[in-house]
Amino acid sequence: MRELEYPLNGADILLRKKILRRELQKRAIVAEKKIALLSGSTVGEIKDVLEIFLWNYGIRPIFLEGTYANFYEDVMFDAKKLQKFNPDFIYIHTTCRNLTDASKLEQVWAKLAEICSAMIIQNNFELPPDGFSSIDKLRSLNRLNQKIYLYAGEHDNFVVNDLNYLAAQYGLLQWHNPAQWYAYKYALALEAVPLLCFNLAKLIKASLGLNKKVLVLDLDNTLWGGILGDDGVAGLEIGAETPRGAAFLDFQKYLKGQQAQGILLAICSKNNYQDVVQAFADPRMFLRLDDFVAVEANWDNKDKNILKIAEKLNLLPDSFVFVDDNPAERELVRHNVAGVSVVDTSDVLDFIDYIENNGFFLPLKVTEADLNRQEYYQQNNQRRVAEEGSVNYADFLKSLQMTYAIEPVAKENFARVLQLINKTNQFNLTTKRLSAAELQNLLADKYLTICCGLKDKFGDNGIIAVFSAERRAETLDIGLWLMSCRVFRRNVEQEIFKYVLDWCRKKQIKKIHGHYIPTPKNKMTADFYATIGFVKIAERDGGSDWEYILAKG
Amino acid sequence: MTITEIKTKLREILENVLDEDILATDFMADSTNLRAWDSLSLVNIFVQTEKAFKIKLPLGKLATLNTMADLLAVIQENQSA
Repeated sequence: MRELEYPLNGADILLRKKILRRELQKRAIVAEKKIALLSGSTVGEIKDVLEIFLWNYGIRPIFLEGTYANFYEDVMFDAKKLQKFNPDFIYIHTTCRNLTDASKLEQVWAKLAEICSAMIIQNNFELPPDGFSSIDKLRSLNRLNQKIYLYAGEHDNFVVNDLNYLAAQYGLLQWHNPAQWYAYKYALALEAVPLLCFNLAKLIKASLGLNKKVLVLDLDNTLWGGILGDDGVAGLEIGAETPRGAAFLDFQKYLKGQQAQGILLAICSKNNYQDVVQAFADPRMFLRLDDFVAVEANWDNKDKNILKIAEKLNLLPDSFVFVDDNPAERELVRHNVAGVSVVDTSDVLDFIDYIENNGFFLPLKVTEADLNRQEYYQQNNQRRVAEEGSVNYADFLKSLQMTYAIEPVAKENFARVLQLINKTNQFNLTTKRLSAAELQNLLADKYLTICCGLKDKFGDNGIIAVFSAERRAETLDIGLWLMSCRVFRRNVEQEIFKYVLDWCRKKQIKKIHGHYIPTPKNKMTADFYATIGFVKIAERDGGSDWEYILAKG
Repeated sequence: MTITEIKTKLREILENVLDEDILATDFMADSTNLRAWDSLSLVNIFVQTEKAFKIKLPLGKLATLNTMADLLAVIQENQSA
């Protein structure tokens, strides 16, 4: 929803809160999450507005509101209530108004980690309204912020909500509203609440693997100044020589940096392909043509080209962000490509600002697989060429010289497995999202929790599939089975199933149960169990239960 | 700003913030009890009022704003001030 994207109009969101809420209620829900709000001040409005932003991401929150200004007491003396609620997220809304006793926070974090597996979202501290009056206060605030970041670095289930940055960005003079503090105990101006909630929603959706994956970029007046077809390569404006050229150069550098974080770049431009090849050969360009995993440079409509890119990459367009200086192209794409996000500005000076502040690619933790993603997709392009040159698909698979590495989930692969679980949409039988602590539980003896790596002659795909099942007497019940869309149709699922069958035979398992839980994105797996010999035993709510009987001997 | 203009503007705020299926004119009666609305909405209405009329509701008066007549009066007072 456009109203809920950067740049926000905070007052307008508050004014029309209930109307926005009503419109968003029609949206499809991807996940339902329990969120405990612990406060040092009033959180009522925060709850309402956060709900709107989460719905916009397809997340339906269930809230537990702590008692007013009692975050410490709620956790230390009334932990049972929290435990019973069993939250997925705990937001601790402290501000410089609560900056009394720093040791209290550390006690709270330790206690929370002990009683539940929720991800903790902790505000750092913003500069106070009366900052100049007390150097000591500023010093202790900075020390405490340091401490919060150190703790976050050492704990997987802990992220910082950078209140300090938000307040600075908003402007401290506007952020602090003494009248609203004294009258209603709002620690920040009511009109700044949407900015705060937007940031919280971004952290939550990022931790659930709902970040975008691909930046689809126009070329003329987006990656360089000028029109390639009219001005020629030499006439393009890029480089430090002119102010505008320097801005485009910096944008290209920024994109290269994003790519290094695992974000995929693609081109969607109305140009002749050969001209584009030439343009990227120009030494003034910071990006090279092979920095892009897909290049659609032709004269077709951009909505069609974006769908083509999606198909090539085996990704859904709702993981795309589209950047184009031309508002008409943006409008066309917004209307015709469901789920795609559009960067709503025409000015190169604003591109980075809009992309960053919308948090499309907000990194919480970067895994090794993120850093290698670009390479995987480049290799996939080579594989596609090889496939097109092969007589039949079986020969093609053989020619890839694939080796599968199936192994238990352990410390070395934990982060990647967790990420796959939380972001895989299409080949995902149950789409259960897990916290680190929940995944840890699946490593106990009664579970078979494995992951699969895949190498071939073009390179190492890394870990691309996860399987987890619970052993109940002589039955194995599959709770999780998912696979990266990078390796569809590569027989990974057959290899995993072979492994599982071997394991079952050793453990005298007689039956395997599987489940399909439908989501808007995983229809491709609806009949997956049938293809490997399971029989359907029940159907409910569009989903199904399946059974496989192991042969004797 | 005349009382009619003030009422028009205020009604717009109420329609948005409350988003309820009641005739907005009902809200505008002098006797409307502001305290019957939930506190979040009321705070929101006060803040939106300050913004729309470019005024500050005096801190000391907030607790005494109970009816629509009270709110209209305080808007008028502060506008002319």
